[in-house]
Formats: sequence, C-alpha cells, structure tokens
Amino acid sequence: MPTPNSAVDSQSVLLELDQPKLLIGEGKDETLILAALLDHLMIENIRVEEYGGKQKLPDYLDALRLRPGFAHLVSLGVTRDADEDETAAFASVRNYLDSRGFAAPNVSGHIQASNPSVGIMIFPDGRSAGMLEDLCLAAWRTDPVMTCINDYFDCITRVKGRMPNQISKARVHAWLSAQSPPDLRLGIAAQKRLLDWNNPAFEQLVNFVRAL
Amino acid sequence: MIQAFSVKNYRGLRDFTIEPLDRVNLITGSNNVGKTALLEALYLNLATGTALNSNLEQGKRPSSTWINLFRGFKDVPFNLDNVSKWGWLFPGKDLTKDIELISKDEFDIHHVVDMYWRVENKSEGAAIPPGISLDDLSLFMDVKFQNNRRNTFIWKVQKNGHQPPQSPLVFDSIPLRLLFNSSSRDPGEDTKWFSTLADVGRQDEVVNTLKVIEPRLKNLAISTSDGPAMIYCDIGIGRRIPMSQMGEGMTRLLSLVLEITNASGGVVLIDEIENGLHHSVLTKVWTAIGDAARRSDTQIFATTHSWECIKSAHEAFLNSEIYDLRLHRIDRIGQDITAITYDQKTLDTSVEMSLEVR
Repeated sequence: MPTPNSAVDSQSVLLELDQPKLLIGEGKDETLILAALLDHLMIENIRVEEYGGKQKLPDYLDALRLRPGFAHLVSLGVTRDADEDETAAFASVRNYLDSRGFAAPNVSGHIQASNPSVGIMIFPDGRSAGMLEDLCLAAWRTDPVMTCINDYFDCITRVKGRMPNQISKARVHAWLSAQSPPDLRLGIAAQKRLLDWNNPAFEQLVNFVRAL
Repeated sequence: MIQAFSVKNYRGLRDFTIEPLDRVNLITGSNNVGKTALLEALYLNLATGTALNSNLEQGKRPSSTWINLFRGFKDVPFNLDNVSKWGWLFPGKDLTKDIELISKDEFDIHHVVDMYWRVENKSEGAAIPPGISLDDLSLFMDVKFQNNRRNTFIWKVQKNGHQPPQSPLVFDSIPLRLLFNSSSRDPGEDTKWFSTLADVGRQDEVVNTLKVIEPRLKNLAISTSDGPAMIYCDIGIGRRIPMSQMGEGMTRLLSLVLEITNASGGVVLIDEIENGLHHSVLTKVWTAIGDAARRSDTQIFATTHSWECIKSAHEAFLNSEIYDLRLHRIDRIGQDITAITYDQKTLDTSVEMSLEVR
C-alpha cells in the first residue's frame, strides 16, 4: 500500500491523485529523493510521481488533466534537470505548461497562484547548468570524503587522459560508495536518510516544496 | 454515426455533453455517477419515435416504453399510473424540468427529443400552472429531426395509455440493439439472430469470432432435436454441444457479435461489457468487436468498471487497421456530471504509466 510520499511502483498499482498537491520528477531517483524530503518535512498532503523523463512531460501533462481527481488538485510542482542550459530547460517546462492551460511561473523555484497553482524547480538551483546530482554534491562540498573523491577523479583523468562522462553522476556514485552499505542508488540513499536536508544547499528546494 | 450527444435534465445529467464520439465508445466512471443514465438517454433519443426495432419489444408499444429495462424492470406500462417510475427520469423527480436529448451525426443532422409534463404540448401551452394536479398533466415526447426537412411529431402520454403521433407515424430509424448481462438474456434471441445471418451465408463471421475463446470450434448449427431451436457447437469431438453448455464467455461473445452484426448501420448499447469474459481473452475479444463493428458499420456504447477491459481495448485497437476507440469517463465535479474523453494518445500515456482513468 503506497504512502502519500512514497514513490509508487508504476507497474503494480494504478496511480491515483489521492492528495491535493502533486510534485513530479523525471525518474525514479528524483521521486525517491523528493519523497524523502517530504518525509523529512513531515508533509503528507503532497503526492510524488515520476513523469518518465523530459521527453514525456507533455504526454504526462495531457493525461494529468483527464485523471480522476484533477479538478480537486490544489497545486502542481514540476521539477527537471537544467542539463546544459538552465534557461532553455525552464522555458521548455514553462512552454509545456502554458500551452496546456496551466498557469506557469516566470522564475524557477516560484509558485504561480492559480487553480491549480503551479511551480517549476530546475535543478540544481535554477541559475546553473547541471542536475539534481549537482545539488547533492553542493551539499556534500565540506564532507571530508569529497577530498578523496576529488583526488580519485584527478587520478582517473591523468590515467585515461580525460574526465569521466557525466562527472556529476560519477562523483555522486563515488560518494555513495563511501557510505554504508556502499551499493545504494541515490534515491534509495535519500530514503535511508543519508541526505542532510538541513544543509543550506537544499534551502531553495525545501522552500519550494513548502510553498507548494 | 453519432458524433456528439447532449443531455439536459435527464436524471443526474443536468447539462451534459459527450464528444467526440467514435466507432467504439467505452464509458467508465464510479458507481452511481450516470453511466447507465447515459445509455438510457441515448436509448430514448434514438428509440423514441422509431420503428420497433429492438428484439426486446413485443406488441405495438413505442420503444421508449422499454426504458426501465435498464433498471431491471421487464415491463412498465406507459401510463401515468407509473409516474413513480417515469418520474425518476426527471432530475430529482422534478416534473417542471424539461428533458432535452440531442444527438448529432456526421451530416450535422440533429435528432432532438424533448420530454415534458404539461397540460398541452409546448406549442399550445405554457409551463405547468402552479398547484395543478398530476392527473391533469400528460407526458409529452416531441421528436424532431433538425435538418433541411424539419420533421416533428409528438407523443402524448395520458393516464389511460399513450397516444401515438399523428404524422408521420414513425421516422426512418437506425437499428438499435441493447445488451445487458447474460443472465437476463433469452438464448432464443441469439438463435434467431444467428439464423438470420446463416440464411445469408455469414455464419463463418460468427464462428471465426468465437474461436477467440474456443479455438477447437469448427462450425455452428441450429437444431431442434432437443426441443426448442438452439445453437450447437461442433468442436471436433464427434458430437455437437449446445451453446448454453459452452460457458459464459462463449455465450457472451456470441451475443456481442450477433448484436453488433445485426445492428448494421446503427447502434448497440451494452451494459458492463466485460461480464462473463476472462481477462486473458479480452484483447482478442476487443479485436473481434472492433472488426465486427467496422464490418457492420455499427457504433457501440459500452459501460465498464474494469481496468483490464479498458487496457485490453486500447491494446486491441492499437493493432487494428484504424484506432476508432474513445474512452469516456463520467465524472462528478461539484454538482455537475461531466464527460472526460481520452483519445489514443492520452489513453496510451495512461496505460503506459498505469494512471487511473476510471
């Protein structure tokens, strides 16, 4: 039986809009992390779902408007990675929302009051290229383990003659490998409370979720 | 084919429109929201004033008199003594509210049915005077085709029975068939309709469809050897087996395909279509239903509560020559009942992501 803030196994149960608020992420890790944050904040009236990646967001939004309970939805939060261009990522989400009749905010991290109210959060911070993993790395910046990880990737770069692809994901995996147990995915690590939500790096995301 | 259907003041459907409609329309929604009311409203719109073309009808009574079949009443005479039953057709049993049912076809022809209680019909009288006794009122049913030829006739229902329309007596009607649950169905109906098809050499259509459930089926035949005429199945075991012994899935699919085929050019209304059908055969059944509907140019309105049924229909139509399926959810939003319609893309997303649609 899924709890409001748990990411739901989409293959085993039909997803219902059973809360007045909805927060959506690109994939499994994102929804697990967002659900962990809601648990930490003890917020129970926000449902978390994944929309299957940025390419599928328009289809998800089209179907969302038709779902039972949509008329009672108070607010919707859309999260997405900035990837290479935070401005383009925000504009893309905003355009998808706008063209489907949702009221969309002008700035990442803000909520546009409407029916439903709509917020957009571009990771890591709405002002930089990158992804959710970069937000986590920012939170771990002062973690002593990061010194080892930096040395490790310096070494990799020397030996291979280049940086690993998707260096942020690689750094996150390296950090996770230093935890116990060492083989967790980021989303599971969040569920196991390995993220310190009180770190200032998460402040913008915390404020966004609270304002939803 | 009906492209759009609007309802005013019929039971809980106070101001309701469902569109666009397609070849096959699957209607879902929670209990008591108005799915059966929608089928009833379609029935009243299509049947009122038409020839008596339902197999359920006997005698010379107007088709509308069979409306209460949807609620399990086998026979409710059409007179004001039964206002307790007829009154339910009006929202909150408020007889001052006029019912209006409008269907629009692909040629933009509007078929309008007005039902109202008055002293005289609308053209001759105003609203119900305050304080008047029910005994002084009649139930009128005005039927109009709003096209270039504005045909109109009026039925007047009085305490001692209905007064048929003066002219024309009936319109050219489209075939209209009803299918409820298997237990209330007379096997003789299927025998009669299968015989009609067999007479014109089309029995193989039925046999091929039923192979979805019973792959051993070789042939069907009508026999009176055990009494009344019945359909028998040849499944290659040396003796024929009565259709009634073949299980509920077979008899249900037989009824479905016969109704669809015999309503050629018209409409079939089906309540809880998944009844009697195992989920493992639903996709093949939907493929067969879609093929039969296209072949016969029949439009289908079917209610369901089943996610498996909806998912199977979507998968079957994805693999059909044409995706001519729409899912409509009847939804209560505040005080209003409204129709939410899924097309191929939105239903595809919903199935892929396992989003609740009912």
